[in-house]
Amino acid sequence: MKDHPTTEELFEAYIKKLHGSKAQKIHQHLENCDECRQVIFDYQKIENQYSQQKFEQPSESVVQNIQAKAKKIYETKPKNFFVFYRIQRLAGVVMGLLIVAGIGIFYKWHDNEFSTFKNNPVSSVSSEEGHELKDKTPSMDGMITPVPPSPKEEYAPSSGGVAGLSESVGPSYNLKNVSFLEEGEGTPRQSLKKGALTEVPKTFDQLDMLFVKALAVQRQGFLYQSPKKILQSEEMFRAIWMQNQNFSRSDQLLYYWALSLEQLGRKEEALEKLTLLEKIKPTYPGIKETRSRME
Amino acid sequence: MMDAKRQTAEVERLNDEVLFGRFKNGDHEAFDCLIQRYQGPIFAYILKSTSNRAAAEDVFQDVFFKVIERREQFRTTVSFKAWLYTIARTTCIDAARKKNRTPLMNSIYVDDENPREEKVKSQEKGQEEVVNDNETNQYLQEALKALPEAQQETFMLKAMHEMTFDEISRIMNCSINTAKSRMRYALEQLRGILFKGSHRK
Repeated sequence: MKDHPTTEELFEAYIKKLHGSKAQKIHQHLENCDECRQVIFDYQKIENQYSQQKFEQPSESVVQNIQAKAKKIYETKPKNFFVFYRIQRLAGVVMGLLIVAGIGIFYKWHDNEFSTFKNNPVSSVSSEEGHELKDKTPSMDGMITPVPPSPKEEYAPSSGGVAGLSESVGPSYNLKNVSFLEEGEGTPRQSLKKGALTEVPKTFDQLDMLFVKALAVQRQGFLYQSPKKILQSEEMFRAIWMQNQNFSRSDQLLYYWALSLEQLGRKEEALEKLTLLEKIKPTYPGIKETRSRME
Repeated sequence: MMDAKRQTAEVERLNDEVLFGRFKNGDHEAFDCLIQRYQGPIFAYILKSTSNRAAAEDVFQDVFFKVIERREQFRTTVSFKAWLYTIARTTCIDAARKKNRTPLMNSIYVDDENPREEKVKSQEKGQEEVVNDNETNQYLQEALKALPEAQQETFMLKAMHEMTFDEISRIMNCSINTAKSRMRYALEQLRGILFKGSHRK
């Protein structure tokens, strides 16, 4: 019996993947062995029979649909549509990230502004009138009407409070848009440190922002009947005044500063501010009524 | 007129990858050429698994729609033919899953009322030859049906669709050696079925 190659070797010979001496050996065997040669021949015949089968064709309408779709994509969209779409999508993602970063930076700056007054409050800064802050707790007896705090309550002037607060706000400023501090974030009078201001904003824009915040703190003080907030607002008004007396909203500054001083029981100082306001702007709304109330 | 014909002939001579590259750049006629080239083989491939002409045409249309939609994903590191057949295969599997059928090689004939081979052959040959061819083809199809599905598919892709083993391995997601083994087993079994008394001693 001849030494026949294995079926794997015959198959390798059939698909012509044999190399070197092995290929030579098997080819030599095939030349002399009818049986093995028949195997290769049968393989070839089987493949040929199947390869000659004709393929059935799909319907013409199906082919036309496909051709129409292929034609349509280049009629409606630019050739580099996907590139353009990717750039658009990327631009959208970048814009979104920039907006998120901008919001984060704004809130961080917003927090830093109030932390300035929490950690380094104004204390012994002197005004031009020679007034100095005194390390004493202002007397609140009888000055603030004991109304239960209600955040949703509309601000209403108490007997010693302010009349027409919302009316005297300029058209460019809306108190409702200002965010309020949480209760308890005020600076206790006892923690005041003496020393010069270190982190007061210097530009008009920054002073403007600080003024708006001071107003918000003052309003919160009135709403929650919080002496701490009132005191904090007074310090903020003072800091702005000390920084720039030619502040663009100095008339409003003096007015609201006077209100805070009135609530803190410092009527003389409050009247001084009103007097100064009358020199700057005699027609300031509500100044006469406020003065008459204080006197 | 002559220039258009010459241009068409030139396009038809181009290989698949060049034609598809032209299509990606906006030449839809190049894609028409590819459709003409592959509509028969792909439809036949799909027909083997769907066993229903209408469903096969739906799948056929889906396959080429996917080719159009995914044209930017095609990379010349693989052959267009293998990529096309891979899409066809996965689309067939998805369609079969929706109908809860075994994916491939479920039946050979479309239905008994409409034997495909007779329909095709009768257009080309005489009646007697059609009958003989029909019997032969039926016999071949029955023999193929006796094979396990993986061997059937491998054999079909090799013998009927003229794929290389590398392309078959990519389409069927197996190694080249596995594809070769399946082909070998398929040939051995078909030889035993088709040629009686052909078993080796």
